[in-house]
Amino acid sequence: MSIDSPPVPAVAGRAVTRLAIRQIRRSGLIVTGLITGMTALVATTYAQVMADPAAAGSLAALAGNPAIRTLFGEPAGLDTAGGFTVWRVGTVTAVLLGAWAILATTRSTRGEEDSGRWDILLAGRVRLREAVLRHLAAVMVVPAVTGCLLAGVLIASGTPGSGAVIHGAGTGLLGVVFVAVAALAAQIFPGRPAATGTAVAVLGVTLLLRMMGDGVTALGWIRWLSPFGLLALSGPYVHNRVLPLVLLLAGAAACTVGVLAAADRREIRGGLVAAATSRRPRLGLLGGTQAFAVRRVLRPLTGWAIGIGAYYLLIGLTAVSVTGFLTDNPAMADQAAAAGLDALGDIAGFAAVLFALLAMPVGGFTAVRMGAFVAAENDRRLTLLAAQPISRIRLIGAELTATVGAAMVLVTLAGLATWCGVTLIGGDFGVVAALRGVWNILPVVWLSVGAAVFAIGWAPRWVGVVGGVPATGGFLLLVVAESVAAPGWVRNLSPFAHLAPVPLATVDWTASAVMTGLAVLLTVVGFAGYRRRDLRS
Amino acid sequence: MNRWSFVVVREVIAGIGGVPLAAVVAAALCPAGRPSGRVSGGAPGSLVGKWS
Repeated sequence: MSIDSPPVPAVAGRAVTRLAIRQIRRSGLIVTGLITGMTALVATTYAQVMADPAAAGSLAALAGNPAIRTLFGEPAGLDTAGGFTVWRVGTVTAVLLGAWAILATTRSTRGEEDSGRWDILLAGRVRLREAVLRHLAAVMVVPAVTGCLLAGVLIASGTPGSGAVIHGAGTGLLGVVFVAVAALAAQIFPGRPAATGTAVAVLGVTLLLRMMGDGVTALGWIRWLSPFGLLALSGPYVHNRVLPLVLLLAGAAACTVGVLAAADRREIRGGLVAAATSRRPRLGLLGGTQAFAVRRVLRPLTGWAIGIGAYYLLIGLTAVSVTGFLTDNPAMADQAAAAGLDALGDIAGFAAVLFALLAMPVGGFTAVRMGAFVAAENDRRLTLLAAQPISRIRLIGAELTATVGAAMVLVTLAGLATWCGVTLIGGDFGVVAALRGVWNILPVVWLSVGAAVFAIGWAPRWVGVVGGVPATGGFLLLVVAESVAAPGWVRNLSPFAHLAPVPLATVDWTASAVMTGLAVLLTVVGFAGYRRRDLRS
Repeated sequence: MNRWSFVVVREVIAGIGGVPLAAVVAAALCPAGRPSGRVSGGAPGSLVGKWS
């Protein structure tokens, strides 16, 4: 015999819906704005990009390259503004929407449940099933609205309505699918990290399936198993297929049914699978100031290492294909030479160009780590350490040493990942050349470290911004200066202007010594400031 | 034209970097370890109070 629950008053249900909307409205608006803005930008500048017949031909040839096709998807309808826009930004916007959908869903459902807020919420008239459903619906509104706006933006840009609607509907449905997948994971696993991790793994694997399907013709069928593949198979502006969209809708509906069934069968704060309630104590690296600094850097270092390593592994895997493409296309090689990239057709030249970019994430990492040191001070977690008979220099020195060591690890890993990628694909690129190339950018990273330490001493609130100036600010300055043909002295303000293209050329030791000297000077001045100032908390 | 706007460099950087950048932006919009709102005052009689 079952006992029928009394109906939930409409006012209580509406209050929960309002709560759900409040939790995601800000980030939802930003995501929608970014996706529609990027799409509108590409669609409206299509005519300018294609105005030069050589550029149009180059782009078409490049799009046919297997490595580029794997990354961007199968090129279709590149001779139209709509087809070009879908090819150029379709994957990035789909990943942005899918990742946001997952994170927003697990955050507003399982995250709120983990924090104990739903204990109070569910002590009222609203049952778990209804609370989950209302949060699910609130998050799903964002991809649905994004899809509609996307179609509207594409139509307003002058592209055919049928293709715009197919692309908008496909992107929106992909977001809805990942909301449902994340909600299902949030019902199965009793913990936000496990739920988010599982849903993100689904996103990663299905994106990989799409890439495999696009890169290997014999595996084209595999795209029917992936939301990203179904989005590609809908073929906006070329095929305008509806069946893949129906399958996306069916997938979202099936997952939603699973969410409701799972919500009926579990306890609050519980899941369909049991969670470990304890873990063994982790006592490693707790024996001193330096050891503790190393312990704190290990976890973020792992995350950054995975991201940077994967990026440069892909660079290595595509290097042979892209350089071979340039060698086979003399017209494009001439354009590369005109842009100051004479040796782009050589793997060493290609790697030298892309190694320069490495200074930005690694410089950013050092700024974030030194920012974490200030955050510990602000949160009073550093007070106990600072009260010990430990000098200020030793305290910040331990953090600096751990950060510098971690930066060395990241840079070296990027070099090894590139070498692995090129070697796996059968290219000729030595490990020594790869390491010379990545270590060449270290002076720019040291400038970031020095700037961050300087800020810790004299402007601790601004450590993140000041630490990011040499690497990210310097790169932007170089790009803008080269684009507007600024005077040489403006360009030379950027550290990147002084990096030699290693491993193609030898290291510019003078420039490296000057940058390292400046970094040491900034560090010493920062130390002096840190010794003299009070703790912020 | 600068080096970074050359079509091959630009497309390789964007092709490989676009997807992780999109994931980073999404993660920044929904940071882990933080509640999804903060209480800014409760409304008498309201079930959930005000959230921002």
